[in-house]
Amino acid sequence: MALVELRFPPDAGHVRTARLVASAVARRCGFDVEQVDEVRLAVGEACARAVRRSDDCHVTTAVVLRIDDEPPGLRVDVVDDSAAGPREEPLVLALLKGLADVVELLPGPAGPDGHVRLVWFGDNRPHVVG
Amino acid sequence: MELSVRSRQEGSRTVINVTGEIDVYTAPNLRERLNELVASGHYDLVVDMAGVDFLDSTGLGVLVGGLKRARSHDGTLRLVCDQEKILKVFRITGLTKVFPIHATLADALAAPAGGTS
Repeated sequence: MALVELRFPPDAGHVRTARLVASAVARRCGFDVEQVDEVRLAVGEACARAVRRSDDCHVTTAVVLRIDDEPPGLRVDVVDDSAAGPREEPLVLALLKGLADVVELLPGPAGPDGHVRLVWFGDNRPHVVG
Repeated sequence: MELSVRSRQEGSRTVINVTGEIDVYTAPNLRERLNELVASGHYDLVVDMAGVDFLDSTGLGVLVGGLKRARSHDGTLRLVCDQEKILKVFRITGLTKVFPIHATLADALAAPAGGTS
């Protein structure tokens, strides 16, 4: 089990950094090319969302990306410090639910929905939409 | 990787060649270029995404915006894409029903002009 953590300023230019870290960890824990692409895209979406939410509330606190590769899969947590309320984000949620096996919106440190949890089981089982 | 956006005229069509990653950081460049093209009277757009490595929801939003602008002038915005990882993004979000998507640039250029798909 290994936990990789990245903290980055809520700046759109760093979302790519987060994607690179996530895809490297996914590759390291044995995910195939298609699954690595899913992780890259979903983590990018979750981090871009955190940056937008931070912008909305003029928050400059770092966004935290945590990736835990404890078998049998990968658990990703993206946490922002924004107090932004719920917003319309149908494309983002559709993508997250279409890409990860489990998607949860949890309360963040500063407000509702500030924490996205994504889980991949890494065994090609059918996706659970939730 | 940076995003590169270059456009050229192919008869009545404007082909926009996009290479690199379209994401929350780079998508504003593409939005600006599409807006400029429509504002300068180019309504029949073909976005060639053969060289695109990555597309996120911000990029999708920009493409939908471009399509709406083109359609408001009775034009359209066609996409050229045959990469499974990019097509998947359109499929998951239901946007395969919204955009005319072609496997090759030749197919896109052969499609009828105007707003029909």
